[in-house]
Amino acid sequence: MSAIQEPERAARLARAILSDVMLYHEDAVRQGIEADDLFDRLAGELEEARVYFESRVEADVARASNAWNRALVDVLVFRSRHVRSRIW
Amino acid sequence: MSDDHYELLELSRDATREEVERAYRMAMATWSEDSLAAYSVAADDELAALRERVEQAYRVLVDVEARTAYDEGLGGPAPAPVEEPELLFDEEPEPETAAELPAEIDDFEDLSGPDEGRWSGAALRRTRLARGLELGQITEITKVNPLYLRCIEEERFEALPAAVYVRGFVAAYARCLGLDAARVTSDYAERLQSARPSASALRRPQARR
Repeated sequence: MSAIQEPERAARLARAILSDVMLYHEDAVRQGIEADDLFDRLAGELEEARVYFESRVEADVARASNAWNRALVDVLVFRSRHVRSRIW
Repeated sequence: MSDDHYELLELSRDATREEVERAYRMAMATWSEDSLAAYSVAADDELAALRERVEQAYRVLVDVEARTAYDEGLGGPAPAPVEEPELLFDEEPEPETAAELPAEIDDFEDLSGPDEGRWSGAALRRTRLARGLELGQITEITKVNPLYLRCIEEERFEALPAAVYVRGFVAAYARCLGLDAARVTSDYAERLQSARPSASALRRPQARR
């Protein structure tokens, strides 16, 4: 399996995976934002998603680009900004 | 309707591949069945013919060899060399056989397990993710309801509409991923028919002998 070596592709992959997590667990994401326990509530799903991401991306690229963590914020958190929460 | 692929997609002769991709997506969105822009200017069959024509132009212009031959056929001055920026899709479109599939797709097929090289909802999803495409982006391009796209990926056949519509959705989805729509649709049809035996309409009509 040829792993992704370009940071931009890694970032796109991370966003696509996390967009799916959000889509498939819409209620849990909303509840997690509301209760400020998003990462605990979705721990299993996010771990599974991260493992998939890391299986597709060169380890150095994943680490240096910080693509996964950026996508967590850009997709799961930012796209939930309309949800009422004490986070904001 | 123009016979010139460039005119049809409103492109200059030296358009880059990226510009061709963009023009294609815009044209397909403009002439989609539910496009407000197209609603009052063309009937459904005319829209289908337009989309077919756009598809035809796109296939030629994204293929370097086909495009070179087409340009030569047009005559006139040779266009500037086509720039090859980062591709929208990671692999060449429309692999014809399993042996020709790009490595990345082979990996997905390996992961598909029981599919054994056949296109399934799960394989479509993995391919989409590998291209870094979100389901919403597929919807923007294909105009297929994201709920249906999810059902296609999850193979929730009972939640999908009549087979003839599913066929169109799957074909649009496959083309959007740069895959061989006929092959993907055919594979998916078998899965759908197994689950919904009455879904024979999804299959292509057999050629007359």
